[in-house]
Amino acid sequence: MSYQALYRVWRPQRFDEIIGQELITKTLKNALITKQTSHAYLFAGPRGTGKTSAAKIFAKAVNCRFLKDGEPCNECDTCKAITAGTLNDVIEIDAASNNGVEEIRDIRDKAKYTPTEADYKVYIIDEVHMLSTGAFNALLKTLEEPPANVIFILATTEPHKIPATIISRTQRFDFRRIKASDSFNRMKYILDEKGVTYDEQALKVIAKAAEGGMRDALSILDQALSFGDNEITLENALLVTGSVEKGLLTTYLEQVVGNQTTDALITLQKVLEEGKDAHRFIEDVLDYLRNLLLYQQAPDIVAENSLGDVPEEIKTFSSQLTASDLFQAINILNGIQSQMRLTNHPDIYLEVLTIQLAQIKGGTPVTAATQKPEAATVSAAPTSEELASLSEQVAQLKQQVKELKLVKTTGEPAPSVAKTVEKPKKPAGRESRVNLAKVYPVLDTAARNELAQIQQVWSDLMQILSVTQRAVMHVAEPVAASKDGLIVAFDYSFLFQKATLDSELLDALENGLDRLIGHSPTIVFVPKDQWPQIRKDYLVQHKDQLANNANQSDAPETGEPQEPSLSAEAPKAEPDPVVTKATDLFGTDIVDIKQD
Amino acid sequence: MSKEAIERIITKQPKLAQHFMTVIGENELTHAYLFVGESGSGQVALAELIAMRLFCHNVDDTGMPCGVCYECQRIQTQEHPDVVEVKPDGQSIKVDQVRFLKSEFSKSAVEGNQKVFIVADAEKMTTSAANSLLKFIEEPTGNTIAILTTSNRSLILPTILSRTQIVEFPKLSLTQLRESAIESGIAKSTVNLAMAITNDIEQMKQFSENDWLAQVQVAVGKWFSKLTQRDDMAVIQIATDIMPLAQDKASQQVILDAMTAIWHETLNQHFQLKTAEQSAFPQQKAIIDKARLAINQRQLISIIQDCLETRREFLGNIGFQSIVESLTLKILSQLA
Repeated sequence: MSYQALYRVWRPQRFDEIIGQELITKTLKNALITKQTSHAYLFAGPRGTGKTSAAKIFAKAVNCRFLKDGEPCNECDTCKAITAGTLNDVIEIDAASNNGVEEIRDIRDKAKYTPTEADYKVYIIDEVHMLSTGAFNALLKTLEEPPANVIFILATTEPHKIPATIISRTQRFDFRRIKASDSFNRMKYILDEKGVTYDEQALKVIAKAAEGGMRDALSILDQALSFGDNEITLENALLVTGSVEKGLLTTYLEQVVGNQTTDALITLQKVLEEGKDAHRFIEDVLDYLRNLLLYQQAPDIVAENSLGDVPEEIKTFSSQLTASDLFQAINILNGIQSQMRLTNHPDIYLEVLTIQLAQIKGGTPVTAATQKPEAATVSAAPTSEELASLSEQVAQLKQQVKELKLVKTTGEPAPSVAKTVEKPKKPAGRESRVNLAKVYPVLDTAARNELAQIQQVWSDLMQILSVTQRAVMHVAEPVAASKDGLIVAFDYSFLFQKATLDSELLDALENGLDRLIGHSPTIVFVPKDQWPQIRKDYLVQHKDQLANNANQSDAPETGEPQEPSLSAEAPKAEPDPVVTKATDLFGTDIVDIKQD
Repeated sequence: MSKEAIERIITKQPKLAQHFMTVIGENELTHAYLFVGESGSGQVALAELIAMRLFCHNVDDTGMPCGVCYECQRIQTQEHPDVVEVKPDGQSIKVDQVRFLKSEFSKSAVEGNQKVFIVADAEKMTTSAANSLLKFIEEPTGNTIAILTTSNRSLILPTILSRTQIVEFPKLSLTQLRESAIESGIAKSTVNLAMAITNDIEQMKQFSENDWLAQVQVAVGKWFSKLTQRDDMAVIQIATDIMPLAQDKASQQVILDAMTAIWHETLNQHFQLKTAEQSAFPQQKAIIDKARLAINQRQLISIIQDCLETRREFLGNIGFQSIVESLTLKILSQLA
């Protein structure tokens, strides 16, 4: 005999063994004891909840001569024959393959004959929702008043497809999804019986992944068994269920909540590269958020659902996110989940999802700081068009207020602007000059990721500007950025000149950046044709200084350059300071080091 | 082919192949499996390998089938009477095929005492076909093994899912895939685009015939650059450049995928996730670079969603040209 799947070996043979359906089994048993069985039953419920098993047990129980408290004995010949499927009077029909009127007519004709061996003739019609309309109607009369000693049991996962006329002629039992704790106990029982060692945590993972189907749970368990050489480990359970490892999921959510979109996307790629199912991933995230939501409202339920322990992250996350944040996230997830059903590009959907999720919390650092959760979420709906335009208006209003202020203070602009304005006035000659004194400090601390951040919001920034300002900035793009400085290069030098003289523009840019990224770097303009030269000059002039910096092992970032351990590491650092600086500026993927 | 075919699947899915060989060795193979993984990750090949392992007369010491004996040969050429393979004929698995499958399910084996069923792309079965398999899959008569493969698990009936052991096929590593694609003659400039569309090298080859994929690349690139310039001519360009390339359903799907891919690339550039050599549209690099500054995140996201939406319309039998034109107009109005 070949190997049999667990769910076939451990198919319940007594009403007691059907777990999670006490109400139904009790009713059926009582009916059997008091001999008040009906002639037609309808068993409905999701997959793997025990419909077919209950039907088979019922067939045994009505025919068993040694009925004990409504349970079949499973020892007499009739019981054994039914279990083996060899008794002629218990007929199991697959309605999905026999769905025509012809087959039902056949049943109707044969139902007239009395049972041969057993007391009752039992027709188990499985997947009954697949019968055609004609077939259903052909069954009606027989179902209403069948010949004596005939019982029909209809089983289906989709009761809404059954005509009302059929339902009204049957006793209907709705099987419920099996609770995670119930299937956990059943699996524990089976593994104990089999003598297999197991990790309880692993069984919890499986019980959750089964989503209320006992057969699902056993299928997964079977698979985990075959992976793990007669041992159930957490690792195998995660592998088989395709669940994303909790740690990775937590990192992902942390990044999403922290508005580190790029990092979150990288984490996402990692998850997908490990072969995780995109649908499962969405479900995992949904489940996680649902848990968070529940935890905020009723911590006890979460503790019960997760079978005992509430993870530490849930506590921290639930304090970080408001309920309306979560609702919004869940809505987005739901939308993507239903869209994703038809696609063959789940990864793109997930990326879109990640960005949308990150936008919930992100993009509104200003409002977040006001510590008013409601306000934060209102302005955190970046997808809606109106809000975008509203915030644009707010920006314009702000700007107008600023302009008015400027007028009041007799054209004395804010100090930060003052510096930038007075400088460009001097080199008003034909050859526009760049303020190197301002460019170099920015280059000193320039970093690739700062630039990337600015580039990400650049087009949003353009939206904030007024039309004329946008026109000027149309030919400009950010070329280098540090924590508190930004260099913008212009394609044409006359526009560069125009821009440097335009304090309003500078003001608007700084304001915009403040809103978008949370701080406003000093903005320096350069013409594009001079930019490569400036960069080169900088590298040449600052070679020595850079070398010093390298020896101090990038002091400003670590903050503690005097640490002896750090200086010990210093000699190991990049030998060429120019190269280090270049990689800092442009990122490792662009810089190509050539030895000469 | 024989030996190499086995080698190929082992290099593709070493872990799973080894796993199944041990499972068979320990006689723990269950009666129903569902192989889930992107197309081209070797599901059918692994299913055949399992069949070979079950029928082969001279399994070697490592537990691998020989691949040269009579049985193995017949399985590979799909002539074995006890290994039944069903593949979708066109868009779906047809009623006739299902009828054949059902009749085969109810018969006992012809030669030995075991039977293997392989249903490729099981999600393409009709609902009634899938339902009629339920009973066979739950408690098959005799010694049969059913292996269903799919690339989209969510389209499989939940009642089937719960009856099978689900095996997830890990994605092939991108670098590995790229290398083998280039080896089998896919041009370097189009290989990334081909990979964005499919993982199956055979399919890639098919697309690359007569430089068709390269033409698509150019046409879609042009379309994209028109769009980024907010140029209404993009709509006209569909009729002149893109429609001649879209002869049949398969090629239309590829073009839609390519359109999605170029916007996806813009998004990736926006977040600087991909390096230059991973670019699917190397010729359009400058335009994409410009576009990522000119188009904001929100617009980009809704454009990509529009692109992804086209697939649903396409499966709903809406005409290809209408889909692409409405997509173009939607994008233009997004950008306006």
